[in-house]
Formats: sequence, C-alpha cells, structure tokens
Amino acid sequence: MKLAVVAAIALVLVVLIVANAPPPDRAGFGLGGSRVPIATVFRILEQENDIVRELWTKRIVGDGQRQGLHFDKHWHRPDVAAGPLPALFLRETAESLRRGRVPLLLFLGAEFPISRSNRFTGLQATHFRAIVRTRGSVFFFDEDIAHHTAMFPDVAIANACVDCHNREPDSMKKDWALGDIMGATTWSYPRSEVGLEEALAMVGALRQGFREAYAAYIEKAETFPEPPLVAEQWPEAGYFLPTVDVFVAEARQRTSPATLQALLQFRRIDE
Amino acid sequence: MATTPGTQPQPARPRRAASTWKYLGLAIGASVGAWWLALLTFPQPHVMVAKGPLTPGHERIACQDCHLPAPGTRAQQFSSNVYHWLGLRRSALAFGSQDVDSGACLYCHHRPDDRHPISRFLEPRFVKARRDLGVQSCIACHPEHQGMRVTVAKTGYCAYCHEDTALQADPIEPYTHAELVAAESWHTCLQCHDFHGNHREMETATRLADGVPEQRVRDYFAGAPSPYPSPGKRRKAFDSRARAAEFRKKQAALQTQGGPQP
Repeated sequence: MKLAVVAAIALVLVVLIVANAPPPDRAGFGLGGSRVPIATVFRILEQENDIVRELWTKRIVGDGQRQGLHFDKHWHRPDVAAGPLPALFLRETAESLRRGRVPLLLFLGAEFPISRSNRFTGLQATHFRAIVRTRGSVFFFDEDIAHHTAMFPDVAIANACVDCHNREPDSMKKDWALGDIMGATTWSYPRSEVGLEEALAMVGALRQGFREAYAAYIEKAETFPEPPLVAEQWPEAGYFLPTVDVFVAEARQRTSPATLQALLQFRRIDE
Repeated sequence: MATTPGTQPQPARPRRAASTWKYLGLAIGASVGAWWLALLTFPQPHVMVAKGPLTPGHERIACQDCHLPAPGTRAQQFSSNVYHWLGLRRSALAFGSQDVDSGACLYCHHRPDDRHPISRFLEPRFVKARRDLGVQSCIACHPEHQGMRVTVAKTGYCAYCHEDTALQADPIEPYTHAELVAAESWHTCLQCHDFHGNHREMETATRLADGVPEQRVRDYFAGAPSPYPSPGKRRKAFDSRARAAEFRKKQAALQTQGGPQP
C-alpha cells in the first residue's frame, strides 16, 4: 500500500515536470548556434563607440561651437545652457546601458583625469600603463565582479579634447597634445563567449545608448534661452541640430559595415 | 482480542491519543484557514506578512509593485527548477515571486544626473568599496522593511573614493577640501554635498557653518523630514503608484519577449 502511494506521488511529479513546458531559458539566449568570443564583441563595440564619438565630437561639438552652441561638464544643471562634452556623452551612453537588460558595462577613466576621483587605481592602473606602452588594448578577467573585461586606449582625436583638458583648472595634466592616449574605455561582460543573437543584442543595447544620450541632449537644447532648430540639418549648416532619428541614422550608416563584416565571420557554414 | 498461545496480548491503543491527533489537526487547519481568511479580507495584508516597516516615502507602494510574480505558472516554475537541477536548463527560475533587485528601485528612482549611480561602482577600480559597502546595490544602503531611508551607520564612506581630493581654486572656508581630507573629517561631506544629487535646488554651501548639521543628516537617514531644500519640479509631479504600475507592465512585456538576463 505504502509503495503504491509513493509510486503514485512520483508519477504525479514526473507528469507535472514533463507536461509543463517551462518558460524560455533566458540564460540560454543564443545557445546552439555559433559562438563569438567576448573579446571580438568588445572590439566591435569599441569600434562603434569610436565612430559615434568622432561623429559627436566633430559634427556636433566642433561644428556646434562654431555656431554658438556650448558644451560643458555641468551641462545637466538647469542654469547651464550647454550640452555634454565628449566624455560625458559616453557617460550618458554608459548610463543607458546600465538601465537596459543586457548586462554590458562601459566606463571611461584616465591616469590624469580632470576629477581626481576618476583616476585609475589597482588593476585598471596596471593595465593602463601597458596600454600607454603598447598603444594597444588589454583583456582580462575581473574576479571581483566575475566579468570578462577589456580596456581600449582613448586617443585625443580633436583639438576640443586637448584644449578643454589643458584649460581646466583642476586638470591633473595640462600639456596634452593630439594623438596622446588620454585615458581608456573599459568594457565588461559576465560571459566569455556569446551566441550571434546575444552579440547583436549587445550592439543593439549600445546603439540604444547612443540614441538615449543624444535624445537627452536634444531635450536639454530645447530649454536653451535660444534653442537651435532641430531638423534635418547639422550644425555645419547653421544654428541647427539634427533630430534624434537623423543622428542615429548617420551613426548607423557609419558603423554598420564594419560591425556586419566582423559578425559575418562567425556565421556557421551550414546556416 | 484473540491471542495465540505463548504471545502477550497487545494493549489496545488508547482512544485519547487518537482524539488528540484529531483535535490537533483540526486546530492547525482552523488556524491556517483563519490566517488565510484574514489575509484575503484584511484591508492591508502586507502589514501582516512584511518583514518590517517600509522605507519612509514607500507607504503608498503595494507589495506586488516590487515583488513581481515570477514568470510562468507554479507548475512551470517547479519543473524549470527540476530541469535546472538535472542540468537540462541553464537558469533556475524564481518560485512564486521574483527577487527584488536594484532594477526595481531604479525604475522609480533613476535620474540622469545621479552623482553616484550604482552602476558606476561596478568599474574594476572600486573593488574595496564594493567589498566593504556593497555600493553596487541599492539595498546596501537603503534596505527595505527597516523603516529607515539610509541604514549605513557611519557617514564617512566618501573616504573610499575621494581620499586624494584637492581643488586648485578651492571655494570653501575656513578649511580647504585637502585639509578636511587630511583631518579625516569625512562626516562633513554630506553637510554640503548631496550624495545622489536628488535635491535639485540644493546649493552647495561654501562655508562649513552654512551646511546641514551632521545630526540633522543622521535624523533624515533615520526617517525624519528632509533638512535639504525641497525637491525640484520634476519630483513634485512624481506619482509612485502610476510608476510602479508602469514598471509591472514593462516587466511583464519583457518576460514574454525573452532576452539575456541582466
């Protein structure tokens, strides 16, 4: 009798387990297809980031300043009619990444930052010295947060970067020149490799970050005492700013060829 | 009772023992039933089951605003965890309700100009602050069901990251930032600086005497009214109930879409 009861309970449990299809396994996202090493994804993301930062720095900040637009480290303050400096545009993007569901992290730091609290210490300081020496990137596993991490050199690409850091009273170094490695971007992700779908989700999250960062600027620009016209035109044509969609489309057009090329290498032969 | 030769007759089980079990069962059943009945009919059931008093300001938030139901039915949740235990599934599934993480807090409390967003502390170099304070998580300083805004005992945590603060054109008096740091007067930081910057109209004092007294900061952490200037216009229009409902809706939509886990 007891055996029959135990057998009946076991049967019910087995039926319960087998008959109830579990919800999708989100941690298995992209399993079963081609696997992309996380270092490759980091390179793709860094390339996208470089292209969009250059777009921001030259076509919005550089051309915008010539038209009378201002960019300031205190751009978030209601009484400051300005947009984010390039490093702060990256920080806005990083904040957007944090709010999303893709566990991708992005930081910008330096050995001689304007704010001392942004100075690299510990592991990052050690790796940054190697970056300055080799002018290359470094990849390592950060055991503390169990994240695979990459650091890429952040090179002074425009006079705006150099001039601002040299002018700033609290800057820790005031003899920057074009081409100098002023800092490094740090990317982190919890997995050593990802499926193609997950890699695309990471690229999508970064692009969403660019969109939100630019949208935050447009929202702020609309509060300026003399707001620029937000339309199809770019600042090079006058006191204009491109709409969010125009900016994002331009960024996508510039970044997509290289990203697609990099990801296609991992397409399976039998697909 | 018939007995065989050579064996002792077995004493009959006392009737009292059986009835004791019966009454015990009835008492347990009645207690559980009454508890559930009260839970279903009591106007504020969360008061009965919550671990402790809510954080000041959260009084209008319902349990299910933060404790979202886990995806799937109970049977699916059960089977998912068995699959996971057998190695047939990569992720386990929460049973009943999901764990409340910082994402739930940030849905209402995220601000673009947060001076110290928790994600900032996931950068490798903040290892000591993470290990000692757990600053990468909201609940390290703001645990729910404690009845307090901030539970950190000492207000000197700025020391973890700002130990070499020195300004070229230091605007404060009578001491410079470098002198305050050298004297390890970390308790003075919050008297002039707003950690998350959520008091938008707060001007940073340039004289220590004009800052918020330390005791008032501590009282504010414990639940007293804010000693800082009133929040800005955006906060005045904030509706926690509407925001929480929006959060639940968004989470439900994300669950049906799938995607990598945060």
